[in-house]
This record gives sequence, structure tokens and C-alpha cells, in this order.
Amino acid sequence: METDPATMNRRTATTEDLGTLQENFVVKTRDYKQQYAHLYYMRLMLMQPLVLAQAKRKWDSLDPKAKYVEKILDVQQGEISYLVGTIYMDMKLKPNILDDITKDHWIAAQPDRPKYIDDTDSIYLEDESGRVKLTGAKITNDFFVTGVVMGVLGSEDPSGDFKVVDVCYAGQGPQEQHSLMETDEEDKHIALVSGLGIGGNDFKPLELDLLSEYLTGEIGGVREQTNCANIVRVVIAGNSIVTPPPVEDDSKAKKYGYDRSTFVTAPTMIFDNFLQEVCSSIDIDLMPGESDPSSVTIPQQPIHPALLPSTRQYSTFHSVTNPYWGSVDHVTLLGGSGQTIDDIYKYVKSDNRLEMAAKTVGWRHMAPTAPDTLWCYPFKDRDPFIMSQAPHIYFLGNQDKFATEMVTGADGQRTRIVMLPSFSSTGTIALVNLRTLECKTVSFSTTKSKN
Amino acid sequence: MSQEAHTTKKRRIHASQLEPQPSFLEDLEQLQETNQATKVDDPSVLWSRPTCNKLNAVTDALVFQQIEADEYMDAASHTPVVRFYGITEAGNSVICHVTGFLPYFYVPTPIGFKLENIPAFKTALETAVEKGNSIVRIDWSFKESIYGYHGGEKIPFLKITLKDPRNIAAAKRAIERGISFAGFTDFTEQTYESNLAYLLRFMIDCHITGANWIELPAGSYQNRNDSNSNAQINVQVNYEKIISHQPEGDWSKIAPLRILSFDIECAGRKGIFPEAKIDPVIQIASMVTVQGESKPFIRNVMVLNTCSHIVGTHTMSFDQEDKMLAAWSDFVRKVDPDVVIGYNTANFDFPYLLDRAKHLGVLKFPFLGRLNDIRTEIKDTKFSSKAYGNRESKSINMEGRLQLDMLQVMQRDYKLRSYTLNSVCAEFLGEQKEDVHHSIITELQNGNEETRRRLAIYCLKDAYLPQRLMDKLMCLINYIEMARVTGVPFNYLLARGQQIKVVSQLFRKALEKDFVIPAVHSQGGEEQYEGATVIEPRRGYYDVPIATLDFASLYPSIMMAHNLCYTTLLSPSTIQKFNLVKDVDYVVTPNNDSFLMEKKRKGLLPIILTDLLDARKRAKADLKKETDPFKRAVLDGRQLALKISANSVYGFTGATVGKLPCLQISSSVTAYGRVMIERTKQEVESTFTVENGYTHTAEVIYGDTDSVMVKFGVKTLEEAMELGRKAAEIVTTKFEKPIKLEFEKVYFPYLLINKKRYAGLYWTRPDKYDKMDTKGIETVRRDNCRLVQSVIDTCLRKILIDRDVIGAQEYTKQIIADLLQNKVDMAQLVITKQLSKTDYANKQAHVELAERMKQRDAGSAPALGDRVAYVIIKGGKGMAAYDKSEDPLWVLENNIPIDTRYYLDNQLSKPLLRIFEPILGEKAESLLAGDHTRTIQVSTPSVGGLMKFAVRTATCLGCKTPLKKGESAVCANCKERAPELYQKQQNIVNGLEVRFSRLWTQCQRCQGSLHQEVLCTSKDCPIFYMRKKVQKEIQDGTATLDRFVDW
Repeated sequence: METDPATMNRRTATTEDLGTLQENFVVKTRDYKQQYAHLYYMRLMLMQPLVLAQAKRKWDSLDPKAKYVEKILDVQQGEISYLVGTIYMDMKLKPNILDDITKDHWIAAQPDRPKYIDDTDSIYLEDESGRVKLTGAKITNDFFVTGVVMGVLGSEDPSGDFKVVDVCYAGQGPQEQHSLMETDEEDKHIALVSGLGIGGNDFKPLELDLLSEYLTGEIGGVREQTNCANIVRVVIAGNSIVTPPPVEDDSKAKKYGYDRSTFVTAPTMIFDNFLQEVCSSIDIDLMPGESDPSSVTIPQQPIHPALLPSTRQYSTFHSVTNPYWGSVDHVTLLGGSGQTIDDIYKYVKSDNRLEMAAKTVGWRHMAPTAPDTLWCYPFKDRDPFIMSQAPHIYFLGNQDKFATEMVTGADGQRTRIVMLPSFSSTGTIALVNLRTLECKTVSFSTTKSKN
Repeated sequence: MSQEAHTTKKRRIHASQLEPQPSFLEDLEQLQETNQATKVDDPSVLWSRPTCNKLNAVTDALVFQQIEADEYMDAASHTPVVRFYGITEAGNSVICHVTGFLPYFYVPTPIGFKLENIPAFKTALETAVEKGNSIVRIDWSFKESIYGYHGGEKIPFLKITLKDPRNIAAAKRAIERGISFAGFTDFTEQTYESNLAYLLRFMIDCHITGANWIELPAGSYQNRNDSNSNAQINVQVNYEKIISHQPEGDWSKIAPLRILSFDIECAGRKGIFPEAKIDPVIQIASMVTVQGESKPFIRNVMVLNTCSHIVGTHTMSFDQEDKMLAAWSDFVRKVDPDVVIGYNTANFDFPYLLDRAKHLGVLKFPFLGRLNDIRTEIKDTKFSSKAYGNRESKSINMEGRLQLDMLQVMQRDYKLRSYTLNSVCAEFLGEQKEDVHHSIITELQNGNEETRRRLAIYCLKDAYLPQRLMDKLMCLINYIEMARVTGVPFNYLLARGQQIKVVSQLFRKALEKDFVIPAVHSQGGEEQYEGATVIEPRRGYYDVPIATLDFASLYPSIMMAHNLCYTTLLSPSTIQKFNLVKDVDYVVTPNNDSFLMEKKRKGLLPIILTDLLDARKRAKADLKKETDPFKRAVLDGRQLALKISANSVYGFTGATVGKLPCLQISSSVTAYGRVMIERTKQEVESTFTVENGYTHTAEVIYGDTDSVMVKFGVKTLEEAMELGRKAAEIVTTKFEKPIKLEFEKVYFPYLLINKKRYAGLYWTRPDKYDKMDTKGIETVRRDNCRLVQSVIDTCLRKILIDRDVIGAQEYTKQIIADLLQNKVDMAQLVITKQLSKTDYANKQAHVELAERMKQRDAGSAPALGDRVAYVIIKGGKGMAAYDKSEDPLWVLENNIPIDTRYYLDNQLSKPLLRIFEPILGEKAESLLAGDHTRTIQVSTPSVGGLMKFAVRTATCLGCKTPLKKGESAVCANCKERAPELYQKQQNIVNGLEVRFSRLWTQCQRCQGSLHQEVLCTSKDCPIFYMRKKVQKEIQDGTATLDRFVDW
């Protein structure tokens, strides 16, 4: 009424190239001759100076004086010292492929547990020289996962264990000043979506239509449309398509030696249409997720554009990796489709996923459990999961519910953490204000909400 | 100085009270202080035993558990002395010299012999022995021979007591050959008890059993100052003063024995098994644990050259090997272990160390026992026993220390597919062990202190595993209990066969009952007697409950029930002589031998058996009550030892190459057994009939030795169990006590394949089955590949547990199809054989392969003593079978086709037919042929043959048409299917990626380090070939996926 919808224009934003930060997630030629030791080695090499800097800051002024011991094995019994190394969690319930193979397969396979923790779990700190068992209340009361590089302060007791009295992490990485000024114009937003789940059990076509119409500005009153026009980019954080398990064709008699499975391609087509509609009016970054047709190990490689023949024509369509670094109007984003947190969840007592995400920020590493329990490409020369910058927005897709928190680093870095719920089960997407980094949700749920 | 330090400390504490500090600082201080108190600068202070106050021989009694004993001749008195090695309850070591006991044997007096003939006889015998003054005395005593019944009369024997045990054999021979003396010419007689070792004679006469507690009352013994002894307490006592505590009640305890478990590493040359003359010992890891404690209190490793610190381990570096060896021998003497264990220590570690020390001239090394003047030496021993087979090994003497080579224990007590430490650990500890190939060992040693540290950790692990195995399997306790039950010294258990245990018990009982035992010559005759009976099996698959009735301890109870013994054996002449009446005074066994009835005289063997079985009952009853896990373990070990002992008595009487064979007894036992099985069958089949009011007529479908399988015809477990119990009761009444038929279990379903070959689901309660039981279905044979074992196992489970015969057939077909299509994991197909010598008479697959591998790379090729793993590959026509073996890794790398037919025809088919024939009959053959065997996939080798000339053409991933130029993945016709084909390929690659991740992270975990590369080459590990294979497959898979790049 006030404004003619036809004249409403979508706001634009710049995108910036983050160079190696982004490129590190791309694996061009896959080589599997190497083992995982290289990845751990690189991680320790890169993170050890960062952690050590924090450790010195924290502990060098102590009385009694604590000594930094470079090699874990050189730790002297009874001497107060601090060490930096990689955490290894020894957990007896950790899924073990040896058990799977050697166990009599007739016993019903162990049901997938929500968590693999046990009272007998022990925690070790390791560097190239060796490992030492960590004990002490500081250790038992907190949570850690394999692969985190951290520092510990304490001393070795006669049994050879290292009793820890304090710990320290790399902390948030440096951050470019978040410089978006207040203007007369309304704030720009980016929309975060995850878990469209097309083809899955929870998939509701109506909600997808609503979402598409919302993003393209076709529904709602002026207010919604104005809001929509302020969305400058959509990021889809994985699990867009649920690839149904290959169907065995039973119509033909069983034949040995032929793979009779066929893939259902309908969900991909629905998704292609959806993307095409949205791309016609807005930029989309599409990240693959666990259920998408992409590589299974992280970093997942961009979904092959040929699978989305209609969408691939659009210059607004960007098929990206998972995890993925992006920058919109100099606001940096780091996102994942959720596997990193889902995996950590299995190995810690806590149920608070937001807390886990916040921990990864403090650890300056978004996927410490890779490769130990989170399938991962065996990198030889880098560890792309180190958060060498503190992103302004750090989102994790396909979580059970929405949650958000602003974490602030020692040097004033601010990172907006967004736990992004799965769209197919909640009908919810999140919008993050690029100026204030505030985050809100928009719901398209057609089922009655519980509240 | 110290005062100053003290005050600063105080001041600091004071300061901390003033200022509020973060809580961890307090923790920190606390830590520092406790650490200062407990910090151990030199871990070697832990080595020695607890200190021991000098005993006052007048006021202090000495109590210790003896663990080993030997004998020596006292140089002064020329009499034998027994030397006990033991441990007090406080953990002090004891050597106790027992004097005064002289060896003796018996011989029946010649007819007409009189007391006054003794001196002449003595002189004649001494002359015959060719040793003057060798006989101490000859006594006249009345005894009865154990062999045969003689109306209970004792006859005169001469008890000949000698000075030197070594002269007994000569004296025995002389009498058997015939000696002449005053009025007696060529007196020839069988001797009695002349074939018993002095030590055992002594222990029997003093009522000392293996590893029991001995008490020397105050005032009974003298302290000794032996310069040659490493023990803390050295005493001497006359044998008559010893109090021997029978291992009962409180005396069942076990002293805090020190157990040393160790392992060595040698730096071998490439491709050659280490030789002590050339290749150095580079590391020795040792763990010392006190029996009953869960963790070793000494953990150390001695390393040639520098080595980085290992947490919780005392690392000692040496710049010279001879110094290291000397230090280790010092360590052993200082720690003074009572038990030394390891893996293959008897045949490798000890001989190697000793040879190496000799080569390097380490003079003090070979004195590892408790006596520092006795050199530790290697002897070759041959051990042959009916039960354990022939085995050649080396033996090493270490006075006062028991040796338990866990490899020998495993080979003796467990039947396994492989006896490598790795597979034994996988079997019993449920974990894989990192295995470093010996070519890498040298590399690690020649690296830096970090790589040597890595090797040291590996070495430490290998030193600890035998200890953990021993704890897990309770070997030490079980052996100690066996020694106590049977009365033989501990070291007899590993070094000697079954017989000696019965001998010990028989002599003990004979002594008690005043019998003497003839020293018979083993005839070694191949006299065979009829064994147990087998009721012809009615083969088939039974989908109804089959009740199993067992005779409890069948052979022992037959011997007890019918009073079968040496002492009750009657000859026709004896029966006549004493006017014995059949079935009143004696019984005639089904073997037509006659034995006196119990009311006339109870046999010695039945008494021994009754004692053993009663003791077992007591032990089992105590076990039920006992809650302390350690005491439970002892009791459980005891009841097991008692059972084994009871069962070995029968075998003793039947052993023709034995100390005292008596085939009348053993044949009668088996004859009774046969009759009883037949009788049981009759009773069951005549009682449980429709005519007698039962719903079905029972049928005995199989019976063997001591059990019968009955099909009562009922459908439910409850009914079958009820009838089983009833049948057992009824049949038991038909036999003499204590023979007892027991109902134990029901098999349901039951697959009866043949004699001694069956499988079934085992139920003792109707609500849940206990286990799947299989007999004689050989899946553990080593020359089978793993595939056989897993297929047979799965089939049996499907048939018996899931009751899905169709499913089992489908599964079998699928596996065969997978096999023929090359989809079976390589690890499943690997066959292993030990390369024990290179010059076999016939060419052998594994030897030929080892030779070929040596030509490829001498470094990684298997050396003598290694196990060679191989797979059978496809060969050209007429290629000899032994040339078709190939290294699995080579096969993987070069895509060499596997001879899948070989695996089907030579490995799988027989065992499969065996289990399916009883079910399917003739149709079983159809499993091995048909549709599923028609598709065959053979990998294209990358080496050899025609491949040099072959040109590879890319084909369409959809329809396999050769691709045209410009097409990378699919042809024009399949273009439409490209997304589907892409996803399919992506899925394959994803599967492989997950496998890759899981496999390699597992190895990373297993080796205990994230930052170091995995070196392990354990061929026994089920994932070893998988991880290699997945690397290759994933590379190929991604290459195919990459072809979609431009589509």
C-alpha cells in the first residue's frame, strides 16, 4: 500500500575472497597414500605456538614458578611445569572397526548409542615424543575431545600421571574489525537455512514452497517483504536432499554379480527447482551435508553442479564446501553442516550443543575429533579446520533446536554462534543482522508448535 | 642449608594464607609438597626384596612356601641334600637345605634268605654297583606288592638304603641281572620303588606336595652362611624336623611371589633371523609384579644407545652392549624373581641372551639363579607325551626360579589357530597388538632417541603382555594348585607328562597303606585294547529337543564302583588258592578280568579317586561360598586340577609305555563303559515308549564314551528336560554306586553330522540357551583360511540360532558368489605356515614363496622361523600348486587374480557339504554349483604375461561401450543416466572413504600415538590387508569419479 511491491529492490552486498581460508577446504586431487599422522602433526605444529603464547600469558607470572617443558616426555616428576600437546581420549565404548569385524556378526550389532562415554575413560596429552595421562579435578570436571591442542599446568605424580591444576587453549583467533556503521538504511541480513530434507520422512512440500516464496519476496505483507529485501544472501547448510537408500529391484529374479540398485533422483529435481526459483532473486551458497550427494569425509566437496541442471545456469548460485568460509560486506562467516558438533556430542557428558560450539571457538579448532571419530580427508600439508581467524558469524546446521550466543575473545573479538535447527523438522530458518550480528528466527512451520 | 630451605618453605606457606589465590595454586603447592615426599630419584631402590631381620634359630620358627626344590650331594658327608627354594609370607627369599634323608628301594627276599645273609648280600651288591660303602644299610621288612591280590599277606622285603641316589639305578640293574652271594647264585628279582626320583621320594615320604607351606619350628634348624646364595634366609634342617602343611584352609594361600616378565629386541640384518654371534641385543624390557597385585611395581627398559624418557618407566641407556647385558643380569639377581615369564623365552630370549653374553664375554651374565656358583646353561630337551605330542625345546636352569614360558603354556593348554603373541592376545585379551617387522626394528634402533623410545615402548608392551595373559588365564594359580593336588614339584608340570602326576599320588597312597610298587620295565608294546563305544549316529538335522544324558566322571566312577585296582586284580590261580566265589567275593568284568570286591579289600585306586572327587566336591562347595575373588580363583583352579587328576588315573593304567601299566584295569574300564552306554540305550528305549504311556517312543540317536543323545519326541524344551531328568534317575538306579547318569542339557536344534561331529544349541534352562556348541567341526585348523571358519560359523548360527536353513543356504550362495567375483576381503583368504626350515623334501608353497620374496626384497622377506602368509593365485595351465602361492600384499598391489576356484573346491566345499548334507541330503551339492557360481570376476593383473601388450580403453560407466573422444564418463546414450551413475559412484567412494577413515584411525589408536606414522605389519590383524586394499580401491574409485568432472 505504502510502497508498490514491484518497486521494492533487493539490497546488495559485496562478497570478499578469503583466499587460502576458503581454498584450504577444497581437495583437488585426492590422494590416499598418506596416513592421518600428518594431519595431527600439522595441527600440533600450527597450534602449538598459539597455545604456548596463551599459556605463557597465563602462567608465567605464577609463584611458584612453573616451567615450560617442550617435550612431554621430558617432564620431571614433582616439578611444576606446563606442557602443550594434543588430547587423546581413551574411551572403551568408542566404536572400533576391529570389534565390528572380529565380533561374531550374528550378535546384533551394538545399538548406536547416543553417547560413547564411560566412567573408565581416560584422557592423555600427546606430542611427537609421547603421551602422558592427565588427572585432576580440572580434567574430570571439564570436557575434552580427542584432537584438541591445549596446554596443561601441573606436575607428574609418582605413578607417571600428570596431575593438572589448570588448562589453557589457543582462544579465539584474530579478527578483522567489524566495521559496519549504522546508516539510515535498514540493516542487511543473511539467511541461514539447513536440513531441507527433501525426500526424507519429515519433508513437507508446503513449507518448502513457503520458504521459497518468502525468500523471493512473494508472500507476506510489506513488512515481510521489506525484511526479505534486506536479505542479501542465503546460505544452505547441508542436508538439503535425503538420498534414499538404493532400491533393490525385486521385479527381476535375483542375479548374482549385478548391482541392481538404482538411485531415486526425484528429490534432486525438486531441490533443483527450489534453488532455481530462489536464485532468480538472491545469491545462494549451497553447502553439502551428511545426507547430500557429495563426498562423505569432511571437508565435503561442493555438490556437483551437473546434479542441478536448472540452477547451475545462475550466476547467483554458488556450490561451496562444508565447512565453508565466506565474507559478506566484510562480515566473515564460518559454517558447517553440523557433523562436527554431532560428533563431539557423542564423546562428552554434556548435552549442551551450544556449549560445545563455544568450546570449539575457544579451542580455535572447529573439528578436533576429525579424523579420530569424524571421517576426514587425510591432509598432508595443512589442517583446514583450524579457525585461524575468528569469524563474525559461526553457524552449525542441522541441530535439534535453535540456540545462539555471542562469544567475546580476549582481544575483543566477537563471534556470533548460531545453532541452526533442521528446517524439515522445525520449519525454522535464522536471519543474522550483518551490522549488529544479532540473530533471529523465522518460522514456516505448518504443524502446530508445542508452545 | 637445610634449615634455610625449611624456613623459606614455611614463609611461603605463610604468604599464601595472606593473599587470596586462585584455588589451583593451592593445589599446585600441595602437589609439589607431596611430590617431594614421594619422588623417587633412582627407581632401582625398588628392586631389592623387603629387608629381613636375621632369624634367631633358637626362638624363631621359619614358615615359607616352597616353590622349587633340587638336590645335591654334600661334599663332606657324601649324602644327598634337598634344597628348597621358597618365599616367606613377608616376601623374603629362603633356601632351606634338608639333610639326612637317604634314598632306598625294595627287593623281595630270596627264598631261604636269613637275617645273617644281609652283610654278604650288602657286600655283593656294593661290588656289583662298583662303589664301596655305597649302601648304608639293609633292613628286613614285611610288605605287600601293589600288583595283584595275594590274600592280604605281607611277604618279607629287603629295604636297601643307599647313600647316593645315583647308585640306585646300578643296584637295581645288578639285582635284575642277578647277583651271587653266600649260598645264593644268580639271585634275580624284580625291584620295587627303585624308579622313583630321589626328590619325589623325599617329598612323598615327608608328605610334602608341590608348592605347599613348610614350617621349621624354632630350635629345629640352623642358620647358614652360604657365600654362593642370593637368598635372604639360608637354613639347614634335618628332614625329620620339617612340618609340612597340607594346602588346606589358611595354608591354601600363596606367598607374595615376584614375577618377572621380560622381552628382548635384537637388531637383525635384513632378511636374516637374528643370530647371537652377529646381531646385538638392543633392548631388554622388564616388568616385575607381585603375585596378586594388579600392576607391576617395577617397569624398566634397558636400551643400547640413548632413549627418550618414557612416562612411568625407568629407562636406562647403555653405550655398550656388554654393559647392558651385565646390568640386566645384575637386575635379575637384585630383583630376585621367583617366577620368570615371557613369550617364547625358553626357545628364544634366554638362549639368545646367554649365547650373546658368551660371545661378548660377559662373564657374570650366566648366573641368573639363586645360587651364584651355578652357571645358567642351555640344554636341548625332547619332551614326548601321548597327550601333548613330541616337542623339542631348550631348557634353561635357573635355580630357585620357576619358569613359565607363556608360549609353551598356550601350546599345551589351548588349541588355537595361531600362537603368535598377537593372536593369543586377540583371543584372550581381546586386543590387537602392534607388530613391528624386524627389518624396521633395526631402523628404529639406528634412528635417534625418539625412534629408540618408540621401539622401547613396543618392547615394554611385549614384556607386559605375558603377565597380563597369565593373570587373565590364571595359569600360575592353576599350576600351583595342580602341583599341590598331585604332589609333584611345580616344574614337573611343564617339563613332564601326565603320568608323573599319577605316580606321585599312587606312591603316596601306597606308602600310607603299606604297599610297595614294582619297578616294571616299560615294554613299549603296541598292545591295543578296545576303546570306548560309539552308538552309530543317526545323522540328520533335528528340529526337536535332543536330551543329553552324561555319566559324571565316567571312568573314575567305574573304577570306584567295581573296585578296579592293582591291589584287587585276581589271577585264576589266586581265585583257586583262596577259594574265592564269583559274584560273592569277586566280579568278572565284561573284559573277563576278575577283581576282588570292595568288602574284601578296597582298592588303592578307588581310594585315590574317592579322595580326589570328594576334595573336588569340597572345593566346589567352598567356591560357592567364597566371595574373595583371589581365593575363588585358587579354589576354582583346585577343583579343575582335581578333575583332571581323577581323569588321568585311567589313562595311567592303560599307558603301555608307562610306569605301571595294567591293561586288565583299563580294558575293563572301557568294557564297562561300552556296556553301560548300550544298557542306557536299552533302558531309555524300553522305558519311554508309547506303550508305557508316554506320548512318543524315545530314540537314542547317538552315544559316545560317556553320553547318549535321546530324542524323546516331545516338542518343547520343558518336556524334554523333564523326561531327561527322569531318564537319568531311572538309569542311575540300574548301576553300581557311585556311577551316576546325569541329565545336563538339551540340544535344540541339533545337527548330527557324524561320529564326534555335531553342533547344537545348548540349553540348560528352558528360557534361554547357554551357547552354541560344536564338536569336531574343525574351523580352527591353521591351513584353513579364515573364510572357512567364518562361513561355517555363520551357517551354523543361522541354522541353529535363527533356525533359518534357507537363510543359511542363501548366505552360503552369496559368499560363494562374492568369492568368485573377487569381493571377499583378502584377510579372509590368507593361509599361514611357519617357515621352519628351507630344505623340505618336497617343494612347499610357503617355502617357494619365501624364496621368491627374498629375490624381490630381501629386507621384508620372511626369515627362518617367521610365519609366511600367502594366498593362492591363478596360474597358467600345468603350474605346480606350490608355485601358485603369492604374497598377499604383492597380490593387492599388482591386481593379481586370486584362484577363487581353489578356495571353493579345496577349502570351502568339504566343510560346507559336511554341515549341509545331513539337512539337504543329495541336494547339498547344489550349493556349490548353479547360478551363483556363473558370474566370475577376475582382476586384471598389472604385471606379467600378456598385460604388456594390452591397451586399456575407457568404457561408458553406464553400458560399458568404449567411449568416443570427448566423452569422459558416459556415452551419448547414457547421458541421461549420468546423475544416477554419478551418485552411484559417489556412494561407492563414500563407502570406501569411511572404511579408510575407520581403518587408519584404528591403527593410529592401536599404536598409541597420533603424531607418528603407523608402522605395524601384523599379518594376524584382521584389518592389515583391508587397510592396504582400501587405499588402492579408493584411489581407483576416485579416479573413476573424477571422470565425471566435465559432464
